[in-house]
Amino acid sequence: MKKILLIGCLLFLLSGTPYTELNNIRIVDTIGIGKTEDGYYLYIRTVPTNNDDETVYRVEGKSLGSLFQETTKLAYKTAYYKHLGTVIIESSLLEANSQEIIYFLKEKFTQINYLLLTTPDLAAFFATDIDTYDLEQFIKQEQATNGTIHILTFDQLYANFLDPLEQAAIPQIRVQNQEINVAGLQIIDESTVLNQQQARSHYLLSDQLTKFQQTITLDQQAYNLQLYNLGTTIRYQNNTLTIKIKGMLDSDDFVANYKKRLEEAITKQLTDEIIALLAEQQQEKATTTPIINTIYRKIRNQKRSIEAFHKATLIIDINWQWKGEI
Amino acid sequence: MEHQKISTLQLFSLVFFLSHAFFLFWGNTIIKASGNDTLLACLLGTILNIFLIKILLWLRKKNINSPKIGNYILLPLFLLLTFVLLQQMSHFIQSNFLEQGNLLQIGILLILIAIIISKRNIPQVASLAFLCLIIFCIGFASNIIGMVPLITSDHLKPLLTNGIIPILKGALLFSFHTILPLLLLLFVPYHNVTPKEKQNKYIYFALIISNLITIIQYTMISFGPSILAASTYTYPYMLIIHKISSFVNLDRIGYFISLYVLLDSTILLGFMFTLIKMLWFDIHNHFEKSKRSVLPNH
Repeated sequence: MKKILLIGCLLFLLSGTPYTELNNIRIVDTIGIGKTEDGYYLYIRTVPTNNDDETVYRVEGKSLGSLFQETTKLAYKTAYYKHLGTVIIESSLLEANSQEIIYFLKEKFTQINYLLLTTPDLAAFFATDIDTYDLEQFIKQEQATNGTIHILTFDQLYANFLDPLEQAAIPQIRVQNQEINVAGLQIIDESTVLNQQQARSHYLLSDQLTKFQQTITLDQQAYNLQLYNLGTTIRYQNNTLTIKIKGMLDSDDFVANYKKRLEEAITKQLTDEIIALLAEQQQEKATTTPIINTIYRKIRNQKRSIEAFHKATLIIDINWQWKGEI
Repeated sequence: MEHQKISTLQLFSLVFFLSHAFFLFWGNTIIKASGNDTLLACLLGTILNIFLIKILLWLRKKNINSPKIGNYILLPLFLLLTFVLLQQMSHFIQSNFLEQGNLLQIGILLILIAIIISKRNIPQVASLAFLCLIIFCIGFASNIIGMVPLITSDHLKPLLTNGIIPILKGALLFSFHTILPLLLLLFVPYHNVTPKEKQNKYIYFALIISNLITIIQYTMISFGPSILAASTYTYPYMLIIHKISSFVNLDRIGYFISLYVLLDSTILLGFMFTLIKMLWFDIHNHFEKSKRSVLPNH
């Protein structure tokens, strides 16, 4: 009995945290980091409480560390970062200073797994009252309908960032007229932003995209197709890259006579999008798709894998099955 | 000398915790040494451990434990090791659970816990280890269940791309991390375990299970945050714990469950304190005896 009590006390004592008065803290939900001419600026959105007049704060500092030192106190209350949900980085900051910012975030918020996004205009985003919950709902909805954006957390980005064969990328959003829109996928350390179609192809090749919707126009008639149970496998052999995509098709519209043509149309569209993305990436030195990793697993040499990717012949094999035809 | 007997299950628990105690604090050294081949290094290290433990068991059977003259060397060595362990534990607790906590206060708290444990003898520490093993099993099982939806093969890289040297380095480190705390088993008298003849089997079994659990933990790191990313963190396994905690959105409960990772180092610390106490009394008795022999008889 004494031993059980001892273990209980041990666990209790070690799980204790220093006492903090809840009324004296401001729980930070979203932060936005941008660059000024000679330093950085930081936007902070806190969780609103009844007495709060404002929930958005803006500070400037010479370095990233000094920014957070200045925000230790927000309007006489302590900033509490343990429930940080989203970090939004200004697009221009990622073109040059990505290494500094990623390592800073790694050290600063080690225990928290938060959402990462970029936007060209931080002020526009913080002028709205969009919080982490809204962003998550928006991303989930866009993911299911268009497949152009996925939730990216810091540890996923960090793993890609350290991988010499992978080009890390962060989803980019824009805020216009108080509404969020997907802009694409911003590649770190470059000014390149993959557009929505390229971003979708990237997710498809990474086997992250399981469903989305697409409108196909045939004979001036629009058909809404639902693609689901999508799965992608990539193989590399004898200088040939074979991408196999499987999936199910469904539509609310009456498509009985057009099934074959719709299949061909969606296959052509996805094939063209993948070819366009890979052709662009083969011209560049790096890739955001897992293809290069597939080649590396076969060749086992980083330099030769990149060379092989640039010279590879591409075969895309897409197979569809209509709902109810299994 | 202890008159209480240690059961084979208690010995199993003690061996399990001692051989697993270094993983949390020094696990990243193996990742840094072996990179993508960490799992191979651990497998090779396990094979190496089976041979090394044979030597340890032979020494134990020969009863080469606590020689009187060796106490003077062992006591400062144990004090140094205990200090290093205390420092590591305090730093770990501060950086993972009590960010605003004072390092000294955490250290004092740990010393108090270790003193409470060391008030008992080795058999009672072994029985505490058995109780802790039950908690460890529950915590580890919940850890694996929580990790399943987060598994990804995106960051897996081919093995053996950097030659055999990193694997050997990692294997040696793995063996060192396992066998060094197990040397303390020499202080658990061979004849105090019942049934005596079965104890070696249980020690082997505990070592293999402990190594297997370490391999599973490294596998979780490989399939979770990636070996490359984990190598840049001081406590790579905590990435898994934080990932699970944020995934289930139960931060506090997540942290509470994650406390099981500290059980092995707590048992090691308590065991070290018990041994220091034993050595201290041995030296003290030795002094008393020598004093009496020097004093003239009245």
